[in-house]
Amino acid sequence: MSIKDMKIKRELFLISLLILLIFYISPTPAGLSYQGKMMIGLMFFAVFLFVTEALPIGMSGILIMALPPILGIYDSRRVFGFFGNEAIFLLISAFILAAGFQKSGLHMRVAGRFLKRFGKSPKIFILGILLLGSSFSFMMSEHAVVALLIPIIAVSLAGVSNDRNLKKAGMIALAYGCSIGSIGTLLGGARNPYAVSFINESTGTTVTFLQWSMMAIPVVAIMLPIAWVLMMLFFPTKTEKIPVEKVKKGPMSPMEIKAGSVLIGTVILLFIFGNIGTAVIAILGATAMFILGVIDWKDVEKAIPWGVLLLYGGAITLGKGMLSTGATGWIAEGIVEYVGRNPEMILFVLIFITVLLTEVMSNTAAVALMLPIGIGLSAAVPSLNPVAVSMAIALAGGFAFTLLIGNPGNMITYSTGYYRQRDLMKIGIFADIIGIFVIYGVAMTVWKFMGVW
Amino acid sequence: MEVHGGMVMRCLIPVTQEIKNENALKRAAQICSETHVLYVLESSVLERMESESSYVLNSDMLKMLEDSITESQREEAARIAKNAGAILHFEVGDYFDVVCRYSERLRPAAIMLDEPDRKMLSLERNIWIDRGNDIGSSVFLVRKALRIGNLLRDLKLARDISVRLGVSLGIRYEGKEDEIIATLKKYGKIAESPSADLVFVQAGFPLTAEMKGHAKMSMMIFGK
Repeated sequence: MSIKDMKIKRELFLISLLILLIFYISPTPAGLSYQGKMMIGLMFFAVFLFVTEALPIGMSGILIMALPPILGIYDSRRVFGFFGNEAIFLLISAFILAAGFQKSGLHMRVAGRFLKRFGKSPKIFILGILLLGSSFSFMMSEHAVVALLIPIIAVSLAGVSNDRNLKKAGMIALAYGCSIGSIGTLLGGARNPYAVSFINESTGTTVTFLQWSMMAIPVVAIMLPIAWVLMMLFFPTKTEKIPVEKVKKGPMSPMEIKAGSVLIGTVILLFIFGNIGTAVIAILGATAMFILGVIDWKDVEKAIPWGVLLLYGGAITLGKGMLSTGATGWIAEGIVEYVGRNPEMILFVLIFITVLLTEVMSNTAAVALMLPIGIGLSAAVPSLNPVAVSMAIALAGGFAFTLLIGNPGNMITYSTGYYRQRDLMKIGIFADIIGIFVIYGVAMTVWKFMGVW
Repeated sequence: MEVHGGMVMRCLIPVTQEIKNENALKRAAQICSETHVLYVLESSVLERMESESSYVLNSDMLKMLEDSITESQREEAARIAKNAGAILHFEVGDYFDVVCRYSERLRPAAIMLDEPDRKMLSLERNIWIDRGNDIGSSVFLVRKALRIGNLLRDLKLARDISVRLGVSLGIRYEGKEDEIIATLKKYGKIAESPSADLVFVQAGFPLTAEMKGHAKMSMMIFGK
């Protein structure tokens, strides 16, 4: 990082502290406690840090945990106690499972074979990338999937040397496929287990692995073909056949068989016995990776991206703090006064705002900021189901299709040089708008049918 | 390849994933004797990718990604250079710094772009700004030529290009010196102009203030 960048970041950090100071010295509004006021201040402070990235996101996460004791909101024991949460262990286990899958090289074989089948025509190839990205993202972090699939997809696209639209569509399809797939199960993104744990702690309702997927997969199933149609409209291709490279040949190695079995077995167990505790089953799956010799501890040390776990700490501090200090109730009343008490309208507005927020900050951060407000609103408007609201926010948090900063997957695929920022923006705006209506539509129909809404 | 007057036209076309300079790449085949494509993988892209992803990806994956991204950009660069029949230079770094370095190293007769770029105009090189198929809307900015020797060399270059493209060369001279006017007339049509030292400009396509600030003299190839 250059000295100029460092200076800018330092100044941005000082501005973030200024935000807290303004809240500290301003009078407490009627109906709100001092703690509630400072939690709202902390929320604005967090929004500023998440958007500007004045600090690395993980560092922002733990700083948010350190501030409530200083500001007199909570004592340190309570704040750090927030970290002892099932979702954290689900995330750690998911990373271990993904590390085993990656180390075995099974992803190369599966992706190569999968894409070869879809390589007969460019349109089908793009659909193949969308399906591949989304199905892998059912089992591991969407960002890891993008990183794992980039080599094989980039090489395949390089083979179609002069069809630039196909290259654009291919890379954007990878980012979109992973984003859309990531909402399908609890393993796809950190925000999903966070949402489940938040729903549980704030409403006492348990959303199992299976229930989550039943609510989320209709959205995935609708968004995937829409994304495909958008690709075809915005980037019409002319190439005849796509040469798929890097296909692993020969029989599967014992390591691949073991890693594949453990991963699929874990997902099946999560679907069937998810009510025991998702983290419990995921830990058993991670243990199996060790017992079968797929990975060792060194692999795990390298496999865990601590940033996302630390961000989680900040997210949960914000969420619980906002709820327990009454800040969310106060904000909710304000929103209700403005938007009215129509639950459908409130749900739509929440989805819309979450998509806007997730475009400019980390998906998990956007969900962490919006969930407490959603829960607060559901308390203020009894006909607004807290589970439906939370799910809608969590799903909307995954739909950052327009900006590079909205999603690491966008930034990673952009870095390959196959498309320009404006390519992503022109298709992303449509994908975002359609995504908002799809989530809203599924909530109004499928979730109603399921009795959630 | 030698052009008229024995002058070799070596062109440098900088390219990044955002700045494709496609018009310049097409035009280079017509006017350059030696085309160099300088593909810059901007280090800021890698830094942004790392900064956006480092909290969700482990260090191994980040390293693997960086290699993979460099490789795919290198392949894209090779494709561009091959299509343009050019010599490829692939670099990772700051776009302008790298272009500066190659400008010094290759000493090109012109740096070819699709859009004016303030930083490029500050380089002591001739700049060709290509607007696409209509040659009449392209601009050839010749670097400051305070000495008559340099001026004549650049004029020869402009004339060579106009001959290659089969268009007439127009010159707009803004001074009053008869001796210079007489010299310039040998190279092309002279038109009137309101200010500055020497400006060669096409009617209906005014130089921007930015260009004026950086080039005492500019040339423009008139359409047929």
